[in-house]
Amino acid sequence: MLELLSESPIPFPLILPTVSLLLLAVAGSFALHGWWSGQARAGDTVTSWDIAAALTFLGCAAAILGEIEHVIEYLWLNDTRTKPANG
Amino acid sequence: MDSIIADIVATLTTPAGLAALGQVIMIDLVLAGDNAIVIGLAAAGLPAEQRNKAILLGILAATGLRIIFASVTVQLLAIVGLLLAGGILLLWVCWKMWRELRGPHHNPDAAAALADGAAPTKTLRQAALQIIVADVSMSLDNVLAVAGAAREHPTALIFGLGLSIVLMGLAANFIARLLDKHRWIAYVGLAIILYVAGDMIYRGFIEVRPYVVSLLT
Repeated sequence: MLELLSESPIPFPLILPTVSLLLLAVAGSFALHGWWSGQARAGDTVTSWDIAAALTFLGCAAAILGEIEHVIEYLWLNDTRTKPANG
Repeated sequence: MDSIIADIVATLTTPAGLAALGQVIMIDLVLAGDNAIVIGLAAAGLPAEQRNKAILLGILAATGLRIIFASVTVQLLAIVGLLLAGGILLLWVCWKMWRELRGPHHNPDAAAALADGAAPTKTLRQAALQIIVADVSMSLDNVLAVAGAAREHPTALIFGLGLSIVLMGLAANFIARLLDKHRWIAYVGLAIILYVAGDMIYRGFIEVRPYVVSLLT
């Protein structure tokens, strides 16, 4: 599993935040579908709103487990490496 | 004004600008996730008309606290044990939420009493207190985490703050509704917040340990 992750085109610290972004994007499209088709938000049946909510929950969980320190460390280290030094 | 518009256009039309925007979205997504879950958890037990008030209050508090903490980051970084205190505060919120989860929804007698017209076990005030205490802890953690980045990218962080507000509002609303419908998921949410609290306490303890050791020897 770790070998598979190390070969991923996405850098390791960004995998969970990327998964989170994807989940929230899919959640957004389910919510749009629910809104567009006029589905009821309450009720016993599973609707697009429920799927959107479940995906949002999973997206938030993935974001939390993504550890902000590692994300910032990776992004800003890369940023400073690519910038030319002043002076 | 022209320079601001030029800045926005440059951000949205150049690859470098879009990459920077992507970075900001990713960081703010990570920052907004824990707030959204805790606000959703706290708001879930409330009647529908009070839920939106609680969510709005939570978002305003989280945003205000982040602005305040970001403006005094240097002073905050100088205080030893702040992270540990924040973690313990969040642990207290977890305990309160755990007790609520074990309350009427899981207790048929209490649920019957509620149906008979007894006062609800959770009030807007209780939910607000939980949200604000959790917001203080988590916003503190988030601001301390991005302290270095904030100094170099203030414009990006301001944009991110706006994005966080929208994300938190929508996500907390969805999560609160989901937890109302499927109460068991609240235990998963609670476990996630417990993880955040544990992580803060662990990092806070590591920060405090040298001072404690030097005091004891």
